Amino acid sequence: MRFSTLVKHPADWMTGKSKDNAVVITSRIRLARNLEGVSFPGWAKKAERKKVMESIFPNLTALKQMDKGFAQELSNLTSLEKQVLVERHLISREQAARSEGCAAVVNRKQSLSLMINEEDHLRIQSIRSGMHLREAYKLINKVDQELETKLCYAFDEKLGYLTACPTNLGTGMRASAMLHLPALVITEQIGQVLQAVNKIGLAVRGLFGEGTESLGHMFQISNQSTLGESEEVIIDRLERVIKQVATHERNARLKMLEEDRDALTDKVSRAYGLLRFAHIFDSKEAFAHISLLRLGADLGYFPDGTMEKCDSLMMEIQPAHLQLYAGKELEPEKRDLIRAEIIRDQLQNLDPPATSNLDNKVEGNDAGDELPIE
Amino acid sequence: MNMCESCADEQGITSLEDFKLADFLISDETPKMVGDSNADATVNLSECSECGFTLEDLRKIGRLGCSSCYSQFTSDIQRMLKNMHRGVEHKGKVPTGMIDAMNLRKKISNLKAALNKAVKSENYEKAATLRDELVKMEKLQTEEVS
Ligand SMILES: [Zn+2]
Ligand SMILES: [Zn+2]
Repeated sequence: MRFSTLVKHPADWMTGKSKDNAVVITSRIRLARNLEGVSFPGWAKKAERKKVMESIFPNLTALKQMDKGFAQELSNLTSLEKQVLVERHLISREQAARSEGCAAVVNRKQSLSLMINEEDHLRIQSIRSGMHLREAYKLINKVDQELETKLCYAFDEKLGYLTACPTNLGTGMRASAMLHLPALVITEQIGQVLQAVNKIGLAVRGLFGEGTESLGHMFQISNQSTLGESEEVIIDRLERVIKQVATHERNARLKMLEEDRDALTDKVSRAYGLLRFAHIFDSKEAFAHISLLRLGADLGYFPDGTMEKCDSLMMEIQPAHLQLYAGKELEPEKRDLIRAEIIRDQLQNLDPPATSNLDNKVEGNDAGDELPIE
Repeated sequence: MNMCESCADEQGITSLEDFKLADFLISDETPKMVGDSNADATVNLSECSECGFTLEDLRKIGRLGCSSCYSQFTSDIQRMLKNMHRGVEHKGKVPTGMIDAMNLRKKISNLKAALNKAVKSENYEKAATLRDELVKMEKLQTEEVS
C-alpha cells in the first residue's frame, strides 16, 4: 500500500464506524519488545540500529496480517508525511524526528501498526473504535506470539520483557482509551471523576490541550503500572474504570437534557452556527465547537452519521492532514482559513439542530454502575 | 531523576503546562518520580559491560542502554521499581514460543555436532540414530514456522 492510499482511506477507528463510540471513542493497546544483545534504539549507534531494522523488518512484512499493508522506512517519507502518521497515532513523535533506521508497518485497515526502533526495538500497537480493549489485545497477542518464534526477545523471568524505560518493564503493555467527556466538563464534575480515576492508579491526560483544559473535551485513561500484574488483570481494571467513567458521562448528558435543556440547546446551536459559517478557525476553537456538535449528535439534535462526521473532521483539521489536503506547507494563518473551509464544506448539508427527537433519549436512560466519588 | 520524555508524553505529561494539568487532576497524589531519594550518597559509578551505559546516564535521560543494564544495575533499578509499579516481579505473559524455538535450535545444533563426531569416529550405528533424531527435530522446526 502506498502512502497516498493509506491517507485516502481512513481507518475504521478514525471515522467511528462502530456504533458504540459516543463516549469511549477508541481503545488502544501497545506492547514494547526488544532484542537481546543489542543496545536500545536511543543508545545504539546508527549502524546498530540499521542492523536491528534489517533483522526485524522482513519478519513484520511477512506476517499475514500485514498482507497488502503499508511498510516504509521513515527516511523515505517527507516530514509532512511523517507528521500525518503521527496525527493518526501510527508512529510516535520521537520516531518521526529520528527517522534514520526507523520503519513503520501498518495493516490495510490501519488497526494494527508495528514500529521499529522507536524507544524500543519493536512496538506493536492496535487501535479499535469504541470500548474494545480485549479485541485489541487479542490481535496484538497473536502477532506477538508469531514474532517471538522468529526474534530473540530480551526477557527476564523476574522482570519480564526488558524495555528501554523501566516504566514499561514487565508486560511492556500500555492500554488506553480515549473518552469524549463534554457533559462532565460542562457540569464541572470532571475534576472529581478524574481524581477518582487517578487514585485507582491509572493515568489521565487531556488531549489536544494545553493548560488545564482539554480542548474538544477528550481525555485519555491508561494504565500506569506494567509490572507485578498480568495483562488480563491490567485490562480488567482499566475496562471497569473506563466503563464507570462512561456511565457518569452518559448520566450527566441525560441530566443536562432533562434539567437544563435550553442551555444545552443554546450551546449546541451556537457551535453549529459557528462551524457552518465562520471563516477563520484555529484548532483550539474548532475542537471546542466540534466537540459540542458531537455531543449534540449523540443526544439526537442531528441525524445519524453526524458523529462520524465530527470524528473524521477532528482528524482532518489537524495541521499535517490539513497541509496534505492543501497540497503544500502553510503558514498558521493560512491554515486557519483552510481549516474553516474544510469544516464548512463537510457540514454544508447539515440541518440546524432539531429538538423533536430529544425525549426518546431521556426515556432510554439506564443508570448502570457508579464510580465511587467522594 | 528525569522521566523519559516520550513516556511522559504517552502518559500525558508533555510540558510544564501539562504538569499543571496533571497537578490539577491528581492534586495530592502526584506519582513519585523515580529515584528521587536523597540517600544517593553511594553512587554507583560502574558502566554496563555490554553497552557502556552508566547510572548517571539513567538519571539524565530516564532510560537504560541495553537489556544487560538491568542485571548490571540490579539494586538501583529495584529501588526505583517499587515507586513505579504495582509489584516488582513479572506476573504476565511469558514468551513460551520463543523459549521453545530457542531450545529446539539448541537441540538441533547439538545433534549436528554429535552427528559430525559420530561420522568422524566411524560410529555409523550411532550416526544413523542421530540422523533420524535430527530429521525429526528439523521437521518440527519447519512445522512451527508455517
Ligand atoms: Zn520512555
Ligand atoms: Zn547496557
